[in-house]
Amino acid sequence: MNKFIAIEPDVCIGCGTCLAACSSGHREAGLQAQPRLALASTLDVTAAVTCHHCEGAPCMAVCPVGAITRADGAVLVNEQTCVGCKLCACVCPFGAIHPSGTSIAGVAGVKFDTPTFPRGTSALLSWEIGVYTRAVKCDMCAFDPAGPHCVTACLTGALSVQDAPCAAAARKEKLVAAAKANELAMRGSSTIRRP
Amino acid sequence: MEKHMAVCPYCGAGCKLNLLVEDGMVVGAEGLDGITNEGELCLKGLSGFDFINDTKILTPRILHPMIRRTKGAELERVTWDEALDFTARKLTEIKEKHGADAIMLTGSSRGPGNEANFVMQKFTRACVGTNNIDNCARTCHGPSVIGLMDTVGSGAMSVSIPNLENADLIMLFGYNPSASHPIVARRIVKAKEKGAKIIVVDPRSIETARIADLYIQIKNGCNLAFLNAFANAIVTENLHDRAFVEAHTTGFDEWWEVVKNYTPESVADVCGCAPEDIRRAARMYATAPSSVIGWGMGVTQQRQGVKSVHQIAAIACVTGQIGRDNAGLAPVRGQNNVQGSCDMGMWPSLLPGYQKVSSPEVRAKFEKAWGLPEGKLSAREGFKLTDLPHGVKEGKIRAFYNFGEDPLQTEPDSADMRETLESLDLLISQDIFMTQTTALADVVLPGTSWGEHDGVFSASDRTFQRFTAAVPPKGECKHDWQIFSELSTRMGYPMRYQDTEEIWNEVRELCPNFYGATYEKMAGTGHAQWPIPTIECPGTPTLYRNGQFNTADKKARLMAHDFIEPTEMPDEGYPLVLCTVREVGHYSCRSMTGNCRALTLLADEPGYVSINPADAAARGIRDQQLVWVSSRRGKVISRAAVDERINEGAVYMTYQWWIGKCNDLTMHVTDPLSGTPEDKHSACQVEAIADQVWAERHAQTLYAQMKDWLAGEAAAQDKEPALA
Repeated sequence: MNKFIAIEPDVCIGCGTCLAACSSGHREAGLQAQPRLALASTLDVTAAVTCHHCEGAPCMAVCPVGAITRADGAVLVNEQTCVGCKLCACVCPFGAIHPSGTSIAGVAGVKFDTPTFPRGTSALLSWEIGVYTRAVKCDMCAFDPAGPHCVTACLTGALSVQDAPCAAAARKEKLVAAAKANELAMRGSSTIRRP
Repeated sequence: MEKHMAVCPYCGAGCKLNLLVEDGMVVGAEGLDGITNEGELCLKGLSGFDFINDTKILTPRILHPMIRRTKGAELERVTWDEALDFTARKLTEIKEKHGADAIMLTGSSRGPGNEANFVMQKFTRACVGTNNIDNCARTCHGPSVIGLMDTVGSGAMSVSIPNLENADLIMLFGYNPSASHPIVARRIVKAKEKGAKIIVVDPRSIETARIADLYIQIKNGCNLAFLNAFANAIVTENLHDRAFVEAHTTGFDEWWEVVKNYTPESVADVCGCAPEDIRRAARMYATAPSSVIGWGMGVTQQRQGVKSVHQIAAIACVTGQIGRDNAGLAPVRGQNNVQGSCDMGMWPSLLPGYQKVSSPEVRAKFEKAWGLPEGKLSAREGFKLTDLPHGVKEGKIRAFYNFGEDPLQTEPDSADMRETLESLDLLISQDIFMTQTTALADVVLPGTSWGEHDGVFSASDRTFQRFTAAVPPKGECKHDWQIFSELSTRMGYPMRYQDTEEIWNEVRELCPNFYGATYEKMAGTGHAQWPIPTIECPGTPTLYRNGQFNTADKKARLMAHDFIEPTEMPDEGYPLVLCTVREVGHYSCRSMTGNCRALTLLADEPGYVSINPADAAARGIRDQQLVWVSSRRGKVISRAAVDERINEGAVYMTYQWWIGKCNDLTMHVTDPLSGTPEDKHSACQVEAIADQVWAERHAQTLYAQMKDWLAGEAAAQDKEPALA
């Protein structure tokens, strides 16, 4: 079974509350604080994009160390096992892998970075002194029985968990709509009439 | 885990929340079912509590009083007694030598709350003896306060935030709620879901433009021309409500004398939009059953801010789109308690409750209540916050008491402001953080933080709500109202209060429109929306019902003015318009949100300059590269966000960044009617930087130096004062 987080772009206001909730939740669980969603915006669309937990997950297929596994419908990265090869990020069709690590800047007090590359560099290529990069991605907040924090936090209800009951209900709704449309379109094409 | 009820200290939406406390540390926040937020919180409400714990991510909290014994000396930690004695002596000396009007104070529209501000203005007026008190509304919605008092009588939203979602049409003019007030943006999405039409008029294609039924992209700085043409279209197409105009307004004929010259065709070039779009918008607005106009800094931080507000109010009045639950005016306030600062009389011409200092009856009432001899309260209107630079240069202002604001970050032309602050005989800063302004102060007084004290905030839609302390004060931090009371007592006007409720009850007794807002009524998630003149009154979500305006004759005064172009137009050397805007995840001068882990992770220095792809390409600038932004006032490093939502010829910088600081570039020119700076329109240039690694390191070095400087100034507080 597969489940994932979907977004309704017209309802999204691009505020980033989902990113903040994601970051805080994972940091508190002892995981990387890097948000596992990213906001994308064009003239016509704004949406927080994240992992679809694909059935044929390409990330899982290419991982050389078996750090990516499937559990309870979600594709999970073990951040401790990951070697930071970034192959998963290259093959992900949604750009949903966020290479990230714990900066050593600030170990002696106030956080000062020493950049060695322009920030615009792809996260796949950037490298920071002393930082061990690993793949960070949506884990559906597997550490919390209450479910994904971004979905709860979204203040316009733009995010939803697409799981079995939800997807089944949505599919049924679509099927019914299609049947009705079909009836309208086909009316009069045969001689059979309801009373 | 303990839970303590509070109201979010960020924007003016007034979201109720619980602070979660473990072992004396605030560890989280959860939404409560408040009137405006219905349990929801945006990223600042959700993740904006860290700063209370003194994380030192950006700058340390101040926990002990400090003074510079002589101008330019090092800061030195002293006891409260010594700090207050020193301050009282210095202020008294300046008052004796230069008069009370040489002392200027500014209230805080942020965490302290209404009670602290009330006590500060009481100290200013009753003890110091001047009306030189102002607040940051001066630099934001001041023109809305002034313009609306001129026309409809009350300087506030006429509709409530919850009722926005029931409007049939919402027109946003120079207002980007998704960044400024996500909780208000949520209401707009809900209104759209319920079938409302949305019109967005803005030079940037803001988030709401995507779901708008009509988006009109205008040129920067054309507001009054557009509004005049909008009004012209209403009248020429006979869409105005003649009966309402006749019964409830004055000045229509004079108003039309100006407006008649502004046909949509005549402003097409100035506004850069199609005349038919203006007509279509006017038709949609005037004919919808209930329309609301929402506006923000896009209107007010302009050369003709007050005049534009006059016209917005006039448009609502001539169409009768005012005085009903879902129809009216929505100037949504930026800071959590900027409505409250205005409510409390942190205004050089107004005592608490919008009672004019010019009125002898009003002064007599306050003198009696405050035990002052007749004629003690000054009738002279005080200085405005934006009078500070020239007031100091001319020697009229000698001392400045800064309360919870950071003018060095938030006021235009920082270099000039720094010179101003350094030229003062005495700079007092009462704050919770070692901000850039506090670092220059001669006296540093540590107030308690939001989360450490009780009080009442006024949300943007006139809703009073209580907030409570979650953790005890840190270090030697004192409640702000206690500091003012103790200082006032030392300066010969004794003030003693037991708690904030005692102060609030004094406010209620003095302000007829607030009388019914008791602490009891505001317990838990309760609220009280002014005007609320009696205990029985449920509050007033909607102003001006049945066309009864709050002016002397109960009629709205229609006013129209001719358009003039912005002060500084782009030219060859500075070909781009610079417009300052807001960061969604940061707030005001950023001293609070910059000390929060999640918010800093999402956005940090040097911030962004947003630029159209064509303007970026012409300069060889790629997305995410560091660039130079320069104006006649200065030059800063910033990061380019190449964004197709940005109009060509203009760039936008958020004002929260201390390194990529847009106020090093803005100019100190103000709307003469309100003293509000023209932050939305100045000329600048953006240039590429060839060596990007050097630029990254340079930005980091500047940032590190800034943090080191502030941490160094704050370090004086770690050294205990020698025993006397």
